[in-house]
Amino acid sequence: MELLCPSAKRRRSEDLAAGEPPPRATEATEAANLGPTTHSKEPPPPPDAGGGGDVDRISGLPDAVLGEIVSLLSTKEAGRTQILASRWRHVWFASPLVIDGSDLWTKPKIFTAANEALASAVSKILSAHPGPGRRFCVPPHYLHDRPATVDAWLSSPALHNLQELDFWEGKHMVHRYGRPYPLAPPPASTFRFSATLRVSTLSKCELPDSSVEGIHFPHLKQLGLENVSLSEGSLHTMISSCPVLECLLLNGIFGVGCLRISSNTLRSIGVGTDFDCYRDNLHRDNLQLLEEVIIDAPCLERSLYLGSFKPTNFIIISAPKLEALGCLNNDWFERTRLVFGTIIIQGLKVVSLTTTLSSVKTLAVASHNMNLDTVIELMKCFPCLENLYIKSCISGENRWRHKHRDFIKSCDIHLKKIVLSYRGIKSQINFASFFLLNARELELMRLEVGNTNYNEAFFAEQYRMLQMEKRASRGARLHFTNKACSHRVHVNHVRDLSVADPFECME
Amino acid sequence: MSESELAVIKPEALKTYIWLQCFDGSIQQVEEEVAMFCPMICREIVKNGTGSSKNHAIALPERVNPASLSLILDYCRFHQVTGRSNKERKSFDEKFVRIETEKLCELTSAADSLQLKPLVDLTSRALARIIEGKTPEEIRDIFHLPDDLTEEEKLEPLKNINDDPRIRLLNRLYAKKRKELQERHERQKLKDVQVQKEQKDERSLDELLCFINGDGGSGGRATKSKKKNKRRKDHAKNPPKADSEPLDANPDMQDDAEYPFEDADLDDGLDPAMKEELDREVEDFARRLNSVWNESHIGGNGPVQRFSGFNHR
Repeated sequence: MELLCPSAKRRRSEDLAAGEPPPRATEATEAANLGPTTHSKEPPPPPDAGGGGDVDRISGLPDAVLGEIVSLLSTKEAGRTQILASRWRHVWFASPLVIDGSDLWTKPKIFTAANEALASAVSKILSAHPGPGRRFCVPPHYLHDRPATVDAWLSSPALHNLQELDFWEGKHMVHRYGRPYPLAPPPASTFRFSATLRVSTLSKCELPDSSVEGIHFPHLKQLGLENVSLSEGSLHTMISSCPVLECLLLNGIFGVGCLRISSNTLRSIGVGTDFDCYRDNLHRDNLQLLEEVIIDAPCLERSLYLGSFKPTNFIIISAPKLEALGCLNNDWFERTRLVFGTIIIQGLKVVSLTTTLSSVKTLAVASHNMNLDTVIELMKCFPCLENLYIKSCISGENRWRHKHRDFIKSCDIHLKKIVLSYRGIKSQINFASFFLLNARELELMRLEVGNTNYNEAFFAEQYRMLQMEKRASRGARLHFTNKACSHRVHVNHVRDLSVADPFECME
Repeated sequence: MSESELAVIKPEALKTYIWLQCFDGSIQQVEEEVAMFCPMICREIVKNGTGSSKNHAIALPERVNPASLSLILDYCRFHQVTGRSNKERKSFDEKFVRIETEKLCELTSAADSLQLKPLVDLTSRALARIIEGKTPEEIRDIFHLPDDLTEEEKLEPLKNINDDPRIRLLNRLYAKKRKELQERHERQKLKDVQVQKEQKDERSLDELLCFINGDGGSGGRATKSKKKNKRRKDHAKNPPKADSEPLDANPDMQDDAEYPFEDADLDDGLDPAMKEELDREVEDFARRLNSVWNESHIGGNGPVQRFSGFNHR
């Protein structure tokens, strides 16, 4: 909701919808009079709006389908459908409710006023809709600022059978407190939906042991904990209470030293401690960061490392389906010891390699001294690698013609896509040409260049320097882009963990 | 489900064809495993035994026209093959829904009457994507919806939004302040023009004075700083820095980069600095309105606001 005069333009005034609920009996009759209610009846032919082809074909869909379509819209748009036409007037009302705070959030000219507006809008929508609820997302600082209100919201009948509950900021609702506030437990009503929840994110709160005792999440597939303080026992209880868990995001959890997960359903995990989270919690006593993670998940497909402070030891007991891995790093505070079966990698250095992991197809790496030798060692661990993302600048000599001729002769490089940032310096030319001249299945090499180099002359020069005419794969393309991706891993919300390639910049 | 039933019923005849008849009378045949992918057709075959010959073709619901049927069968034919990867399926689905909106609606309707839920989901999502981000007029136009609500009915859902007295007051204050600032801006502009013409020399004196007094700003910026903060009615052009300090102290309103003032409605000639002032005043008012005054100004950290729960109605 924006702060405008009531006499503002029509378009703006239609932004939110929270109508006075008409008595339900009338509504049902009205709906019956307006449109078809079952599949089997053929809807009355809609009035022809003029030309021969201008027939309304969407209003003929049954209520359930229209309701599904409306529940897929953003919160504002969904509410707006009430004013489209008489047939649509009550579709929103009868469809599962979606309240996404980031949809309702106005670009905050005034942060506090925007919060007031959002809270007000949420209250109104909840009071207008009979339920059931599909999704509810509000900023996590509400747990601290207005816990009673949040409790009232969660207890509202409009959220009955809620499927997705997110206390989540997103990039729109980022809170700008001057000081971090003490983390408090969420209201008990948060766990009211445990029987129906499929996706849940809890942020900026504390989970005391008592709150998670005895709960069960039979349908929870995606769980995100960001900036949450809880004990080791509680975390284990929570995870084991999710029998169908597929995606787990742990970004900035405090109080847990060692995490052991054993799950037949887990497909994707993201672990890290964002620097902001870390800094916000420095004042706490016994700041226990995650140090060891041991995973036994035979279906694991993606193992992602987010943010600055990663666990010291990350052990995957066996990972026959692991496809995506990253971002591996060897900066001093990020030098995790990764163990995948018999492969041990310390930071970026391969310490031990007995059996390769041929399932890994996508790898992202970053290092202050990224060079070809390091990359080739890693490629030996993952012989079927197809996508390689170099998320830092390349340096070093990178001479390969003599040094790595054995590797070239004995191993097929299956790489299809390589992305790296590029300036045209000798070390980078050597690095890139290694792949261009030896990767027979290469399809794309994307070079992220700065704006000064983003011109035809530079491209032509590089084409020559990289010896493209001698490339090993005739289908290989060089693609220059000036959109440098600053994020190593694109995971903002737990559902991003289900994206097959989280290193690809979608912007 | 369809495959296991198939195995139970007819293990030896996997390449049989099923006959389907649309409402308009047209009949076509399709491979059994493809047809069985549709729950409704599957039920007809299993329960009623229809579909095995041209004379006993399965009568499809009215909402399934031949064009939609053809699309549905393409969909079934692709997806009933087990070996495909998720990527392939997703890619197929994306291309599959790139059809005319009208055909998409008909397809949704047909898929729904055949109870083919995955396809209904797919088409619903495609329709939602079409609707998202468009004005009601545009949506009515695309789908040829009748504009049959009265003005009153259209405003009804939105009536309550402005009923919260707090929000209304904030709105009014914001509008009033904006007008005020705009007027001041206009007046200042006129003054500038005059000052520029007549008082050029004096200004350079002011510059010198400012500089000598160590204000640090460049008075010279005054001439081109029409966009800068000019709330002060003083003749001497104070350097912008002095003005912007209290604003910078509030982290809530900083960072044009993060919160660019690009809202078209409020972009009526107010520059960011003025908007900041406006924001601050309205924020003050909001705070007072909530009868909670809980701030601390600790060297640059800015106020920390807390609103302890709030009641509507």
